[in-house]
Amino acid sequence: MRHTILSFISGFKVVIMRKLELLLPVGMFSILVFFGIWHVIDPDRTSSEMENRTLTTFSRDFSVDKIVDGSRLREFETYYTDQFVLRDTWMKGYKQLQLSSGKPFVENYHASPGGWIVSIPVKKIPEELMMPKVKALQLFSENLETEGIEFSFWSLPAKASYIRTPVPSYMSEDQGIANNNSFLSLMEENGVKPIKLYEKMTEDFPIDNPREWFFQTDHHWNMNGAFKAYQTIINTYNLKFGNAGDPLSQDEVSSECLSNREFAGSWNKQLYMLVQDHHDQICYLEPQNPSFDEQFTIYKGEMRKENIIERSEIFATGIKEEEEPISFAKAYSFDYGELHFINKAPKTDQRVLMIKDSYLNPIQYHMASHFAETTIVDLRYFGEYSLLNYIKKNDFDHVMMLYNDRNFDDEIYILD
Amino acid sequence: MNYLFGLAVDFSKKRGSKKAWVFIAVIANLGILGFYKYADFFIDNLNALMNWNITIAQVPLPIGISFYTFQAMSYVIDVYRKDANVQRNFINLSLYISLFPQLIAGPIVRYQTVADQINKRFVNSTYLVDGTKRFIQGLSKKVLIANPMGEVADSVFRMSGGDLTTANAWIGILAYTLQIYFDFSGYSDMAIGLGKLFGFDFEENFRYPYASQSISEFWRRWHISLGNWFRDYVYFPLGGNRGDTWTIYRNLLIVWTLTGFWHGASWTFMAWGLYYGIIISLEKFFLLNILKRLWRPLRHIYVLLIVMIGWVFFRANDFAYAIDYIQTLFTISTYNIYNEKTFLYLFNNWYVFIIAIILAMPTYPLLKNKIQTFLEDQRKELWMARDLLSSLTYLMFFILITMYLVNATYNPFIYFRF
Repeated sequence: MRHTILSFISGFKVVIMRKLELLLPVGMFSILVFFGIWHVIDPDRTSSEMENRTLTTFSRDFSVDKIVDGSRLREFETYYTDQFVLRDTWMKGYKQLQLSSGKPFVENYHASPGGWIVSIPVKKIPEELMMPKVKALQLFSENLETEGIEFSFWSLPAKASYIRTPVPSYMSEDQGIANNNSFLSLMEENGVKPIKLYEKMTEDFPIDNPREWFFQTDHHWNMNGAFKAYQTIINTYNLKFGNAGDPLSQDEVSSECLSNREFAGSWNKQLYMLVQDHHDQICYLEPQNPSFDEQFTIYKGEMRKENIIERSEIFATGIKEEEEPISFAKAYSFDYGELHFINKAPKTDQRVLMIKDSYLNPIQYHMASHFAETTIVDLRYFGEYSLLNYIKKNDFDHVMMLYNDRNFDDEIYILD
Repeated sequence: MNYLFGLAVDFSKKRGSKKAWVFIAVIANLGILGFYKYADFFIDNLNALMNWNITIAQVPLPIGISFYTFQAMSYVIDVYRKDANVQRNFINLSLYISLFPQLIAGPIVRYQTVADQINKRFVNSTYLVDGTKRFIQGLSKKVLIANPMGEVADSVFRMSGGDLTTANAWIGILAYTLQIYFDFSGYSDMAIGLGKLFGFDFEENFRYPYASQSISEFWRRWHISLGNWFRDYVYFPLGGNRGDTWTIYRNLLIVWTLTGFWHGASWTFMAWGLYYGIIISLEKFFLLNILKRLWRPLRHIYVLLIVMIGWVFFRANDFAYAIDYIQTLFTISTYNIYNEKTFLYLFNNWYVFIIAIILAMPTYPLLKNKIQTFLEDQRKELWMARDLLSSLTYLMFFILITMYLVNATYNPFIYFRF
């Protein structure tokens, strides 16, 4: 009897061993089939918040040409990988693995204890690569002068230039400030008078550490830094170009912060929000009487009646969406090709064009509150119009160009 | 085409006719390969030599053509040599030539290896398990090791001027040495594993070549199917080891130059092949006797140095770059020994380098044997635990591979709209 039982148990173990062996092939194919079914059932996502881009969705274009030349297969491959099941989760897992393995830079960013994310140092840009942009600015400035329009170029401090620690000690020095200095020197040599805002800001508001002015996990300045920049810009504008009124003081604005909303910094999004020990939060410094909501008529696009919008349609759109976490763009503003602000309570009758990048977004309304009419243009989304013709047609009094000091994109220097 | 050639060779009664059909088959196959892969090379060189200006439309290169052309030729030649029976079933022959696991990256499967398996094969749980394991091993080698090493190698080989320091050059060639091994052997493992899932037993294509103690041994362990193909279909017909010394060396140099040329349509590949031909000839001549007397680690260092220098020619786009790179390796033409990129490469990838170096040696089979020996006298429960742990480990690797593959499609647009 005992022998029979032992034989039975031994045989049972052999059966179990054989079944266990099959765990691997069955497991692998089950995973593949499961992913396939989930992929079919799951609706396509149109965009990726983390990658900040639109995702390829399924196309029903099965034309013979596309199949024969292989483009259909390539499109399907892009579609499949863009819509892969739990894509963000896989990406996040990979980034976590990279961070845990002690890699000093993940996606070109160094995440240090304390929540600061620092970008990889940039190299020196040869002056010959800068010259086309300088020449474009020179020509632009001369054209505006011919039209009797004032022009000013404002170099805004980029976080990546001024927050350079901590990075591993073996890294070479970042050349962002050196590049900016070279670029501004070349501009001066070619008749364009740039204004390096950081120098003015530190004169007006001496600080021990520029970190107070920048987000830890994003490439922008925070509201504190942006507001100081606004005050410095207006003070400097008044000195150089005429009275645009005093900037709003700290006492004239009330502070409100979204303490219950996690901030999705642009660099943290590259790391799939894995940096959690930061203290970033979205804050607003706005006047109450009148508030910016009441002060402006806003046009999105050309100044036509049908283009009039409410401020809430383009400002802080992420608040009403109530989604977590909130990005810089959704907290302040996205970049738009063309916006017009007609001021009901201006401090000067000047009509100003501001050509800008995203650094101006938190203080667009602060800036616009001084001028009778402010047009804000982002050349990356401006369309195919000739900027010069646009300026002549609108007959501005002053054109301000405000870019962060690391912005050397080619498209923002197409100025004809 | 090769189906008909096989039939023609088999049907021919006279030896002369059989030979003629084989000759035509080889010319036809090499003609197709030559047109798709080597036409541009020949025309460019003809134009340079004769100062002509011949142009042809861009010829797309069919993927894997070098592999399946050699495979198809081997079938016709084996039928001629009576090493294999002719395959009268067109579908079965098509299956052999176009079998997807090894179609585009080998191993080059000889018809005689799988002739019986085409009609008679079976798949049991052992095949399923072993095939799956082998497939995941191959995919792991490719995705977890070869791809990261490839990124390092590509980054270094893109460098120019002061950035290419001696240390970076060594890191780059080490990364490439590991990339090409794990990439190629990974594909072979996947092919063997997938073949097993369908009941096919393909032969091994790599046997830890970086553990070799001579270059001759290296080529008996690296891309074994290609080496065997050239040995059986080029070296032996040329005379092989028969004949006087100079004939043997001539045969070796021809075979190795052709081997290099098979890899790519450029002079650098031919030079790479000739480089090995010369070294193998030297080993045959006297070097092997010297090597046998050397301390074993020195033999390994000798092989690795020769192979890594060879990879510089293999990877470089032209001779000038290859020479420059080798000079940098030995600090002949460099400004700096190291720079910040050196630290970045090391700190970012140290664990991949270490794992790759360990796995490039026969550590895994050693470990497997040790565990097997230990378990032989143990209870069945331990066997079960081993199998369960093994399956879970492979599944974990599969999940890890998926994570790496999904991340490879990461394509952020940081500044869009803000």
